[in-house]
Amino acid sequence: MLKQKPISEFTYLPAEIDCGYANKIVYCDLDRYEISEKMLPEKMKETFIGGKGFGLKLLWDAVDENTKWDDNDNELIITTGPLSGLTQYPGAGRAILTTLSPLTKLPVDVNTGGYFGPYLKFSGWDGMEIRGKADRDVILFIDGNAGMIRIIDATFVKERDSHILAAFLIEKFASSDEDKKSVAVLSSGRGAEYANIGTINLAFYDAKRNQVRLRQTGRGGMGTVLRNKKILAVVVKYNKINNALNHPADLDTVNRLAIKMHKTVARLNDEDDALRNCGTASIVTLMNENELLPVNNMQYGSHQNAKNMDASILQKKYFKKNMPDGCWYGCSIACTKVVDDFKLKTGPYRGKKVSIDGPEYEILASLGANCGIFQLEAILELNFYCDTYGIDAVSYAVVMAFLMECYERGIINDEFTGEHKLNFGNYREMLNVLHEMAEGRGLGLIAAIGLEGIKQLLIDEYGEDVGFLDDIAMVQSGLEFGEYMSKESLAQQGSYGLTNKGPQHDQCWMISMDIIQNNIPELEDKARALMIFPQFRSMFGLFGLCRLPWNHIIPWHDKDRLQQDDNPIGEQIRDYCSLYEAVTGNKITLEDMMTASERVSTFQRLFNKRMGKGTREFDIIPYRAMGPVTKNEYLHKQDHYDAQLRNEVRIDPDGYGVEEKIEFLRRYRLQRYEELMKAVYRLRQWDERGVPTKEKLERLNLHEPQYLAIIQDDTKQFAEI
Amino acid sequence: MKKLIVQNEKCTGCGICMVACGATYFKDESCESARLKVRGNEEEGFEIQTCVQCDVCIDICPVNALYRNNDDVVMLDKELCVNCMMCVGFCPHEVMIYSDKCATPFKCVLCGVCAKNCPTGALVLKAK
Repeated sequence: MLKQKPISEFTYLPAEIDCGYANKIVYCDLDRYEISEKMLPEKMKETFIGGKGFGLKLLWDAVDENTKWDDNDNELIITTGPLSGLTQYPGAGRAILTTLSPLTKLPVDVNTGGYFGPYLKFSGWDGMEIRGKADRDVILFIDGNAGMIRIIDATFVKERDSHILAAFLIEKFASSDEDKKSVAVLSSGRGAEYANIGTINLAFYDAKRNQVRLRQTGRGGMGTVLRNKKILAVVVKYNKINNALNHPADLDTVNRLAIKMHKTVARLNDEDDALRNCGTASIVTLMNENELLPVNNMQYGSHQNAKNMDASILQKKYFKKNMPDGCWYGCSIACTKVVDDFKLKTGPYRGKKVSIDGPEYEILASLGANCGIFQLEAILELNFYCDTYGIDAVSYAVVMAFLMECYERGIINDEFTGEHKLNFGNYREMLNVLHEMAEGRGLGLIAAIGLEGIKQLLIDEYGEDVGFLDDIAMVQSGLEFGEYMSKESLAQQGSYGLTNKGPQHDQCWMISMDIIQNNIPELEDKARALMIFPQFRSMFGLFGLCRLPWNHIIPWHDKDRLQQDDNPIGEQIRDYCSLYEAVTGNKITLEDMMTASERVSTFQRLFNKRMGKGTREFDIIPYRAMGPVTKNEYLHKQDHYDAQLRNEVRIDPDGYGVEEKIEFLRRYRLQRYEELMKAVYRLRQWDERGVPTKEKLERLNLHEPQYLAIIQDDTKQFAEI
Repeated sequence: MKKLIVQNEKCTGCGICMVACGATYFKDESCESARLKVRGNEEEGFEIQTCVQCDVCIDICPVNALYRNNDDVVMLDKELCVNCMMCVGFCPHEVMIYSDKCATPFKCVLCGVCAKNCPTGALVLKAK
């Protein structure tokens, strides 16, 4: 235990969880070093359910339309849902983090695994709100068994990078080796002190492996906010874990539903069970075969060297212990994999052997293929350093892919890059720039701005072509793109463009359904999917669950089974309703669940509108996400594009040059996206500017004057225009 | 070192073994909480499913609560168990048991009460 005298201390009687809720939120004001508690109103539970819903509502109440991400009023909020912490059901070790993003300037929420969320809840808190900024580095420490919260001066802590910081803090706060699994740590790394693309790691001690493991919060710059508040780490400690700590209304039913799920997973064959064996890396080859793997800043969708990243190689060569690595008890899906004994070749930890959490599909696609890198050793090294420096690997990779293309096209030169030779595939330079970012210098400091800022820099300072850079900078609303090639998938374009927090696939992942299964061929089918899936998928964030067990149990590549009347999707969704009911005691139908989820999605759209975005112009995506920008891209799939011109645009391609054909195709595809937007807006009950209608707000019980004012205000402005 | 010898051909499906097991540990003769299961019917024959002391549950347990004792019997440490139920779902013979009568899962510990009560000798506890 740390001996330092705390800056402040708060003692409390830990609330006993009642049917999934602690019914309390802990509030920490770092400006005043004060800690207090708030009761959780019943109405908040009814309206926002939990997790993501709570996070967004608490943030809404904390900020106004002028609040910036680095203002003291911006909060970092960590919440759980009523189902978070179940030890028996797969995917329940979730914490949902919410804040105003330094990249999008909008509310961003992430749903992350590990032990932190459950321990926070068992300590008696449905959530933790942190506002203000400390005047020095601090650690927030919650002892959930003792009922004590401390703010501790952390200036004596030398460790800055997550893998050693988390290990240090777990060692310090555990009373013995056996007690290490009782400590969970939320932290970032030194890179997040400079970069807008900072991420947070949730660390826990894996008793099976006898080692500390990290899970990343991913997107939106969470780590940047954490370090801006001078928080070195938040530590929560809780011991004596069991399956009844949520005090569910019907424990027996929860257990039986859990066993049913475990049995299903246990009986999957190796092909169905790829996640358990290889994690999400298992889909790299499938994506490559279907031209959906982004290559060289999303110019192309496949590469012959992608075979070097096949999951079987990871499984044989790198996942040495080859065991299911869940990130919380009871997760039989166990999609998180661990690379063991990886010897680093660069940077401050060169020569050390480390463990690496992952790599997941998006890591291989972003740090790998999209930067023209296909050497697993290099990708793993980049993966490790992104994580430990607290850098969002996907954002970093998208920034670098853009800079690489600019370098190869002569838009930036050696002077700009600081002599880094940024050709696609140059992993050494990619690592060099990452190390620079962690040190706050050189090109690393420019990359740290994030892609939207870099694009503006090139336009404003260097007078570069706005149109071309807008086309190839894979960023929307300030957030860098996720790692699926959407050029040939109109539905995936909509998935990226029509989300609340920028182009990632949390709310909607259409690539498989649209391209691999071809289940939604017509525009109306795609629009309907874009209405239903964001609503449904948000549910997991409200309940405090991971989405992957649901994705996983659906044999998504097994079309025949999906077409059966009694397909497992329906049964599994019914089980989620039953699980919610067994924990909370509240009966819920599928329709209720969809409505609750739709309510929170709509609330987030309103929040975006309140912060100055959330309207039609922010739903547009860069053209490269829709079609070929350059000649090479067109020629790469010339037959396919020519056929589309001939069959759908009714233009004979033979009579035109490539540049003209690119232009014809561009007009057609932009028009298709426009039609999709219109159809989705209509189905989502948004008006033509992308704002939810009054009728929709009333239907969803979001009819408080403060919410209606957001859309009324818009109507007024629209009338004035 | 002990071993439960199972001879399915001698089993008549009387279920006395399950009743004895449930009664011993839970005072429950319903068979639901018995640590071994007799499945099948007279026409196709009966099959007694009991723990074969394989490693599946040990491997899947996230907290090392399952271990082998000195007699090579797989045991559950209730203090370490977090009731994740994965061992119940993954047991290939479905003899890691869940019952609402007990917070943690439970399994055969080779006590021999089933063999002692078996009227036909289908179950015999032997020292290895």
